[in-house]
Amino acid sequence: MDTPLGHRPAWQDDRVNQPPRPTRRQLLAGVAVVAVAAAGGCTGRAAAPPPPDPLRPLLAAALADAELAEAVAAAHPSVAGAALALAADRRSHAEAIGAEVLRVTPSPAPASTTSVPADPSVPPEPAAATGALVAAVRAAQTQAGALVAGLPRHRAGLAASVAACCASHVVVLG
Amino acid sequence: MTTPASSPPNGPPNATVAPGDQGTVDAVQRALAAEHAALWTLQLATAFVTDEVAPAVAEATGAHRARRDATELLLRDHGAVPVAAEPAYATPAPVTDQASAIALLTTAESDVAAAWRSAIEYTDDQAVRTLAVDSLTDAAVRATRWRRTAGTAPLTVPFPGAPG
Repeated sequence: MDTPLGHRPAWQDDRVNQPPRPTRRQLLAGVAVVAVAAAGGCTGRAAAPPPPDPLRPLLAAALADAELAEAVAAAHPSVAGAALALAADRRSHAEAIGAEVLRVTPSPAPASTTSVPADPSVPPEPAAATGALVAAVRAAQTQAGALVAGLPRHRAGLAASVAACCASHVVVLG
Repeated sequence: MTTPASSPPNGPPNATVAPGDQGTVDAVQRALAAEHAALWTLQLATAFVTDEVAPAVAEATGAHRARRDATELLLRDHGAVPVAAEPAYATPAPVTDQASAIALLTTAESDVAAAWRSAIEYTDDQAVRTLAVDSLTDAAVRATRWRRTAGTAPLTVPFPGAPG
């Protein structure tokens, strides 16, 4: 590695008597090994795969609810307003939860591997379609609320707000 | 945000609480202060709302009183002295009619939601978190109801109580 001025300090000339210095690549590899060992330390097995992120089911539900709400809005214009409002909030949830999952476990496109829900089936009657949305947001409220007690603090706050939002949509749909 | 008209309600420092719990106690005290403010706004609103809206105000008052009492009990269980209500609060806009009263009620519920969400992020105590998520959820639901009564849109926010 050259110095910015292209000048080699005198001490670097005396290589023969120096122990071999690790290259930058070797240092980075060492850091990676330490990081993997530290990450595996909580399970006691460095080689064990990390446990699944507890937020992943919330991400999947948010995406599925958004898909269902958009399908309901398309099929039943009379309830489209409430359905699209729900879809927008659930997409916001998916975005925030997905970002948090990715922050903790960087992996290529977690949303695309979690999403791809099957085309939701929409009840033919508007009242039944609204009922399906109410059932979905009630389930989502329960799902997110149940995680609040046990998650790390900032994740618990996120899950709590998701639960509260889903509860408020029961009011809008009802 | 409704703010105390007099000095801020920091309350006395509490020497009986274990140091590890002080963050929890402080966060719950802030939530209790928001509950006090919400009760004050509900009392104010009774003077401006129609008979049609009055039952909803009464229902919200009962719910907030119950939450205030539960919160005070929880603080005493932690060895803390619950903060008292302020005699009056400064409102962000004058309250002169039902519309401005309901706007203030919506703001008060948003403040309550923010205080309880913050409490979740300041504690690992499961009982506190359970009370907090229930309180946050109820505040979000009531805020949605007040927006619907006022005819404002959107009726919901994606992350009730979230900062920013």
